[in-house]
Amino acid sequence: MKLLEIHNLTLRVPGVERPILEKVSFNLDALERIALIGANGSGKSSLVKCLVGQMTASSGEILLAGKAISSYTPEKRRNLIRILGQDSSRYVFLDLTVQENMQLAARFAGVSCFSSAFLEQIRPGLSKHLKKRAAFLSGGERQALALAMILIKPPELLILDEHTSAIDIVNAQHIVEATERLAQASITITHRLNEISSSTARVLKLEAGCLS
Amino acid sequence: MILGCLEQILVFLPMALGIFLSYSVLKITDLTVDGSFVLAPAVFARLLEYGFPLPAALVLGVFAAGSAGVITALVQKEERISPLLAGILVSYCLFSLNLLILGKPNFGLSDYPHLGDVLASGVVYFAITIFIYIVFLGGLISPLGSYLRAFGSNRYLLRDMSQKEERCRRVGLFICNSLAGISGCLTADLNDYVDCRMGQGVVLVGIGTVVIGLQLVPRYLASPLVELSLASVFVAVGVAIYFMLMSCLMQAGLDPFHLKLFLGVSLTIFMVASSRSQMAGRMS
Repeated sequence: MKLLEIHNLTLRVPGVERPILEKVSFNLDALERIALIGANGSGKSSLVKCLVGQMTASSGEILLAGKAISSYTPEKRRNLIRILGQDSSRYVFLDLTVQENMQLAARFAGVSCFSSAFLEQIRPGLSKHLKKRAAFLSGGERQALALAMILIKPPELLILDEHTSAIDIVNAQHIVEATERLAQASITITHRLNEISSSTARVLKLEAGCLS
Repeated sequence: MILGCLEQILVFLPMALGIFLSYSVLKITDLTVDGSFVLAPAVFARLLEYGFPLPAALVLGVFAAGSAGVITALVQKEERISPLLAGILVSYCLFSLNLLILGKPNFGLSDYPHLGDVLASGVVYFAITIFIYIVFLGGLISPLGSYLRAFGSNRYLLRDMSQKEERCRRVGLFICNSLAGISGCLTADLNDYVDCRMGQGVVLVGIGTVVIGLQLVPRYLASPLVELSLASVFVAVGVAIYFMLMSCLMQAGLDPFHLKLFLGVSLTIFMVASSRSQMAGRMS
């Protein structure tokens, strides 16, 4: 079953002659993992913005579970698609403890509670920091917490936007492995090939707004 | 003098807690309280005039003040207008509304029932303030409290998690302005009158006392809840310092016309010191 269908997506912005995205088309099956690579300015982030409704395409269509993405309410869309970017402080409540962060994430996701074992699955040792304020975690731990908050109820589609680029290689490995184990369909956006997990089915390359 | 000073501290504490909630928990500087501090006693006074029982008049007055906070939250929705500007706008409108409700700039309350009719007023103010503190501290550890703290910490993440973050803003500013309204009603009860200008500058005094209180709290304790609870207690110390300083200055013969200038300069020094120590804390 197709989870995501993108047909001839073109994005133009006023004052820029060349389209940011030009006739981009690809599909993503449920539970499929793909990677989208490309240099800075190739249109990766703009594509994500179109997917999450922050930008409206000039032409073409995006279907999520067979329905036009614009037909979903923002709340419903955010339930189906979650993003994890490179700035971990954007994805956690820094002034709350790890436990409070997880409790809120569980409550919002409609999950009765979370277990320490779940946190250990995301990153070994994370459950030792339950009482620690998120602001006091290291970058890798914070990114792991952000991932745990998302994966407590895995979304239909997880977009990983250069999510390991700001952390060291060991922490990045934990994050990639946890994503492989727990996430459903995912799109990994990167400009570094070593960030792509082994379970990735396809690698799409975006060049100057076009898929090559 | 000491008793009068203590009463002033007690009646101002709910207001300081409200400002603490908006300033430190929600991370919104809400200037509406200048207006809602008067709106509550204005409604309270007029309802007493219409023969409402004192508790009902008090509750309705406080509810009116809370509603002003909700209006500010709607004006600043999704930060389309800066929270600071939204507060000034609503407060500006409230000045006329308060005058309209009161019907005159100054409304005497000596002919109406008072909170101190049964017990000494100081005891009643103390009981109300302690009750508010207990509810406030209990609220901080409740699910609503963690929701409001989450809003202050990262409101955009709440939106990403499909939560209606604007509801937090409305609830938070409702509570903040209700607390200002309680202070307004208690102040009117204490002074025996409501004046349409009695709210002028109270927000600055409130922020000042909160800043003084926060200066005394050990920064970045491991538990944010312990830090917040301690901070809310130290806000009371900040209020006490402020009012005792003011009382001492008056006793020392400082011209009341110069009082605001002196206190304004003192608060500025405190705020600058506070921001410097925060910067030092972040760098260390």
